Amino acid sequence: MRWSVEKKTDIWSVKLGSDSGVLSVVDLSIDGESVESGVIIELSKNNDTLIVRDGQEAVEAIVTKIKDSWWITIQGQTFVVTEADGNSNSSGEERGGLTAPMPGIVTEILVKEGQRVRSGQPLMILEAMKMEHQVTAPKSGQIEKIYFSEGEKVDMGSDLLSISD
Amino acid sequence: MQVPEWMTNAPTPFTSVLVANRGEIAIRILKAIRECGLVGIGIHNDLDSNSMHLDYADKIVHIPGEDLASTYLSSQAIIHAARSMGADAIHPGYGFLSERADFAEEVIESGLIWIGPPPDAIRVMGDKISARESMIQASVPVIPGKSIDVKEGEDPLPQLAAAAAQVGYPLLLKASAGGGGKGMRAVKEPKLLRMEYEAASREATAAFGDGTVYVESLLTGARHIEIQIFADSHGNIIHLNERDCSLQRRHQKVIEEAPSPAMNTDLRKRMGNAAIDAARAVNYEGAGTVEFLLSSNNDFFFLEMNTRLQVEHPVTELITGLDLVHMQLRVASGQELQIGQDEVGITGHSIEARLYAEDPSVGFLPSIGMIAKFQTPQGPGIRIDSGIREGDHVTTSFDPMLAKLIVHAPDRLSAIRRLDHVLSKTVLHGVKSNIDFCREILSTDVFREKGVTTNYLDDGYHSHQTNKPTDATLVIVASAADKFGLQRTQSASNSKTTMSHSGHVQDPFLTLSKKFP
Repeated sequence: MRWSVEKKTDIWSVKLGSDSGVLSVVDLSIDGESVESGVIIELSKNNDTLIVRDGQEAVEAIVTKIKDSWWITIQGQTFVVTEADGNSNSSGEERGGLTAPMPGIVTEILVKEGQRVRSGQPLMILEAMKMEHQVTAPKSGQIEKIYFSEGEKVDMGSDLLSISD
Repeated sequence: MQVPEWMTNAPTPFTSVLVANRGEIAIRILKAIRECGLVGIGIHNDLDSNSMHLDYADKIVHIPGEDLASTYLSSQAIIHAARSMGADAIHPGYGFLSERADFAEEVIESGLIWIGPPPDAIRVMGDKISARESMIQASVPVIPGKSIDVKEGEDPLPQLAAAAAQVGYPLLLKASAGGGGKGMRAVKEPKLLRMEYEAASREATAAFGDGTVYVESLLTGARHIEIQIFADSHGNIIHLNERDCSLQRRHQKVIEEAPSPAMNTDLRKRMGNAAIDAARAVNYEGAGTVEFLLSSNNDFFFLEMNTRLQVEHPVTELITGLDLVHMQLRVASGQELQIGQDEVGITGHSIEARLYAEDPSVGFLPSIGMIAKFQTPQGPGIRIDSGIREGDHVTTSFDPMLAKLIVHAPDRLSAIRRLDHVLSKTVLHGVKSNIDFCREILSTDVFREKGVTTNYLDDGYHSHQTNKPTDATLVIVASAADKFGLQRTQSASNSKTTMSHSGHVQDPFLTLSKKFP
């Protein structure tokens, strides 16, 4: 994955390896230059936050993904790390994901299960607080399952549909 | 509906109250209304039909429109809403119409009970010049100053120079109609006088529709001390001690505490009595705040009186054990205050931090977006007065203050520790906030030792954040979060935080005629 930290222009590239639920750095570089890191990461007991270990020290990271960015709170300080992959910021528009970005109502479903869609194609319209939100396909593929029907209420973060490659 | 027991013998009993406000203060007031056995009526406009305060209302009325002028700031629309819902009384909260004497008058004329001071008291105190004159008459000390009344097309400089010679440099230019730092300029030397006057007058015209500017001596190294007073309609007036709001950024309060670390028993008594004199001079009723500047040699000067409930009222509630909104309801029903001055005590120390949607790292620009995560801790001595919840959108339509984090502890240092703990356990994702900024202030020696003076933050305060995770750690965390498939939320609005396309570039939240000082 390629990332940049807010207000900085460096591009980081990160590759993590997994060993029985613990992630460690396989490859880490900043603007192409390799960096060493002994940081290892595992899920907290509740599976909703991360435990970040660096040597003897362990801290908790509370994270939320908003669009292409992870908001990360560590020891009371909040940081934003954004995906640096070329295509993610190019449109500048709402990039669709497959979970509800806000609590609201499904007002329209534009695709059927089994249908093939291309990346960026509108799939569903949500409405909340008088604002419409278009859910678009994050990648090309086939609609596997649609979890809601028109008129149904969704909570923030609910899975709306799934796409297979 | 039955009048609650505590109101049975009241001269002007009521059973339902419309709260002409939104956000945390509407929630605060609606909760108190329920607790007092009354019916609370909430209002909203087209833009906030899903706002949190409506969850605390027994009845809800929609005031059609998107702009504040035809909704939250429309006395006609609000009185109409109150009548249509059969409300007996109106509580204005702070901001919006709370300090509009005409609104108070219209409420009373339409036969409703106004939960606030008499319109004349609002009128006198709402104008800096008339407030000052009435304070001089009441022998309340005022800062040396002079008002400038420039006719259309007239050169302001002769008048300005004369006033400046009278009060001396450095001086402060203030909007006569203003508050909250709008139209306020410090002038350190004569050659900047014209330029700063023009800026102040322009700002004052934009914010308040009145460019009249007032010149006063600028006290440097002074503290902002305000006295909470309470008056009933039977002539009883008490003060509920002071709050220290010296920690301001560009005249906007950030951290407030009670009692003040600069106070002593004798000074408190003298300032308390001056505040009571100020209130008596305008036949005050209900909750009010008399603001003073306290110089380094303990001279104090009347600044202004806020004729409403104050944002920072919780710190007074925590040290006195009183509920100011309950008291407002009681006074509005025509009953006497239940306590006398001798029964007002101080227990422990209380501090409040205002949580703003703003980004300290880019000059405190407002931050907008959807609140994807908002977590605050609980525990003894912790009070969170919040107006937002996860899923809510922070927009430029309303004020950027999201919540107040308030603590109470036996002494000042424990209160500082407790507030730091609360801030460190507060998680806000989706908009930028001043959480770190507040923590840094709390950690400085000067704040911990004795508090600060009003120019502390503007006098070259520099961030010195330490103990930050490295960028490498952050990007590893981001990758890991993706890999573990942790919570994914998507903002429907543009969460690229800072606004630059707003009509008011300087202050996109400049939608109210007054900021909350």
